[in-house]
Amino acid sequence: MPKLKNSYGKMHERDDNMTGTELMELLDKRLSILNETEREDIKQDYAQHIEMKMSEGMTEEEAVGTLGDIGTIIDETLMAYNIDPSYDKKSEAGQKIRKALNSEFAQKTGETLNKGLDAVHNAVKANSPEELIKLLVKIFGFCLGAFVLFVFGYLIVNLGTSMIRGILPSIFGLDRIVPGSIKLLYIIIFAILVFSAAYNFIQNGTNKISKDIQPADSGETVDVTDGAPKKEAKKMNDTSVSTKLFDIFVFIIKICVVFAILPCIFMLIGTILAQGFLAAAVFMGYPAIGLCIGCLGVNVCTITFLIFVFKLVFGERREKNEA
Amino acid sequence: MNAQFKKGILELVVLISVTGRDMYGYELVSEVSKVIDVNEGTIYPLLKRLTNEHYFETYLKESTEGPPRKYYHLTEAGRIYTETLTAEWEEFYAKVEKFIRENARKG
Repeated sequence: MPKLKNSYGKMHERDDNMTGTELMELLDKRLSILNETEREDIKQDYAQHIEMKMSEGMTEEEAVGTLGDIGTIIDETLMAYNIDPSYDKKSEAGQKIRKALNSEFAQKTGETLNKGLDAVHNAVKANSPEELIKLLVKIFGFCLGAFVLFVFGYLIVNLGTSMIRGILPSIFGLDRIVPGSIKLLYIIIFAILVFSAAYNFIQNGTNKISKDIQPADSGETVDVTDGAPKKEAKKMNDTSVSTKLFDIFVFIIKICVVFAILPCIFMLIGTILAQGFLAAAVFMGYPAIGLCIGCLGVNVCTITFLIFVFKLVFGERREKNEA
Repeated sequence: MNAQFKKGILELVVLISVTGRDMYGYELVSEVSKVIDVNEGTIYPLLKRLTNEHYFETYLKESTEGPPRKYYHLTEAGRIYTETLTAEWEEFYAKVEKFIRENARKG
């Protein structure tokens, strides 16, 4: 995969080669916890620094080079706000969960597609049996994954619709039309997700890989020895694979959770109704107090679940406002 | 020079530079890097921290060339802090100096 090799190889000397725009993007990304005015102010400082250096006759890259190690600068900037610089690494899982349905997932899908295309291209070009076997194994793995996803999807769709079919009366074929339209809705949502992934892939499929790489540990700015870049590249590779797997995992969970809303709402309506009847029955002297409490429990659970889903989906926006 | 030495004293040098007159970011950075050889980028986070701790105030001022510049002004708190740091440094320096001289004589 020549593209990948290039981006990893470039990584360890990234600081010297970084342009002003790249620096600004990195600052935007790593200082996203700060509010916008502060962040713009910080960016302005460095932009002005680079501008001044360039007016003294330096090239843009040299000007960025005078700043030293960008990772250290960002860490120290965060510390100036009493923020633990490793926060974005620690809460990465949390961010992933929130972003999984949006761009993160789409971008990763783009990357994966890109890699896959590279692999196919290489295998065909090399014309070597080993490469082809590797490719076949990969395709098999992909099909297996797709099958698992399909089983998942089947379960979700049926969970969502069979319940409704049970509730609805069979006049005018209502019990067939409503579940059918809900199935259609699910398919449309899925299609939208796939399209947004494809769109992101087209937009930043190729250059995303190099941009996405986090600055490595920013301890000392010692010269990089021959061994170091290889090691670092390997490390990056491992993390990117694991984050990708994690993304897919989170995505599946999220889909399950979100698609479970509908049956959940119906169940809630049902149990609230039942609650009313049961309460009435209790007051009329029937021994239904146990059922009544059970019903209440189900209600509370369902409401909690719905709130959880709501927070999961809309949590990101609120957090942004708070920051 | 030892990196830890530099880091410790950088703050004092920055504070003293601004004591006489207000300076804008780049001016301050080039002034400080004349005294201590550090990566210029590391001075900006320090300025941010000192501003957040209210030792500095900042204000924007138009310049003849380019966009307006952000000037740093030492506050009263900053002045007191600078004095404390200077005194600490002098005491520390005197002690170490004395220690070195005594041991040199023994050797």
